[in-house]
Amino acid sequence: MIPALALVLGVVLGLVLNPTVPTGLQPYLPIAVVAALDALFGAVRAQLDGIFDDRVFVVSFVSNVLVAALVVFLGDQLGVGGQLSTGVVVVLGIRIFTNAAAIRRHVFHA
Amino acid sequence: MAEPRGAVGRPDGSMSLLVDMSSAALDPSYAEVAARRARGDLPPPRGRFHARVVTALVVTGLATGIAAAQVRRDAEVTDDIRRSLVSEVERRTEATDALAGQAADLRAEVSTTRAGALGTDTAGRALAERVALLELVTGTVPVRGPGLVVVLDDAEEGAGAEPGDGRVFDRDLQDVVNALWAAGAEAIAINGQRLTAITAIRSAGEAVLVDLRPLAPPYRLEAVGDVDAMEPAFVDSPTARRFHSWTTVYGIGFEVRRGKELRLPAAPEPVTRAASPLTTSSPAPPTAAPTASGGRS
Repeated sequence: MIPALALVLGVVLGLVLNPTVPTGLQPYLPIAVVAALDALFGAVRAQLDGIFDDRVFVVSFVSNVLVAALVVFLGDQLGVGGQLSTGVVVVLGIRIFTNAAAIRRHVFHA
Repeated sequence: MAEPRGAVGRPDGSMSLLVDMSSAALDPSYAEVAARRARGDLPPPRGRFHARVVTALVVTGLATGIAAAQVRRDAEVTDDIRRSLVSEVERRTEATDALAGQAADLRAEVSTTRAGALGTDTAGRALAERVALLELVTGTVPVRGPGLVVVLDDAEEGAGAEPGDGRVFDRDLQDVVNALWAAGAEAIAINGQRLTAITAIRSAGEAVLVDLRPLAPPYRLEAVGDVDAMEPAFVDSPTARRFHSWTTVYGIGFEVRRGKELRLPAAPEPVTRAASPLTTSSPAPPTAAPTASGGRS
């Protein structure tokens, strides 16, 4: 319950405050969101598997976001930022789907 | 991610990246830490939801909200930019039209003044006549009079065997225009665009450009000239016959009729490309006549 509330609180805060993102950071924000969602789904699955560990979650969360942003940044410098963004989204998307499927199996036993 | 690999020679070995991606979807660190806890290497976990977990979740939500708001704002900005560009284009077009009208007025004024200045003696009147003829030929004055009207139109969709069969292309308009000149036309305009010797009829994408302005079908070609000589000459020309047969083959629209009183606008003022100073005190004949059909492509 608390995690869901924290998530909703963040979304509401972001929409209400609507701060201006520096132009240089704008391409990385959506990628960071996808990376964070990946860590989140992993955490939920770990929780259901009974092996959740908050330290692992925070480390994977931070490293996921940073690495995804770094990869896209590197791609931007090499002129393939758009393609690498797509790559990151595809890879993280597959992981999110896999974890979501595992969560579904846990919850619905199907 | 130090997950033990499967035995060598797995059938899906060549797809290890894909396999890794789904088999290691859950960060293996979770399993590792859990195993170390089970062995007693690590102290048992504290409360289920540590403050840093909550922080990470708030940050995730915050980033999601900001990104969504950003996308919405960007769309608004793009919309604003497009609207301002459209109004800018409209404003500039109006300004261009106003300036063109002004230019036409000034040109008429110049003509009147020139006629007055030249009309004093025989040599002057001869020059004035010559200027009037050149103005007519170069299309810098509006003309009116009887002539032929040729209307060309694309065929109905799907009339031809292949798409594009029934379309009127730039080269078709070029053919008809050339046939009209050959038949004795003195001045021609397409959809109100006056043609001169250097007007280009081209296409860009699917649009036909005349003097770089895009035109839309149907194409109405108005040719002022001696109708009685022009009509038989044009109708008998190979071009007209070809188009006539295409009306049945491809279904394109091709219609020739007489116009009693056609009014053709002036072409835009031609750019001066070559000029030379007068060598004598008497006015010399113009040396820079426009080159014939230099702009045709």
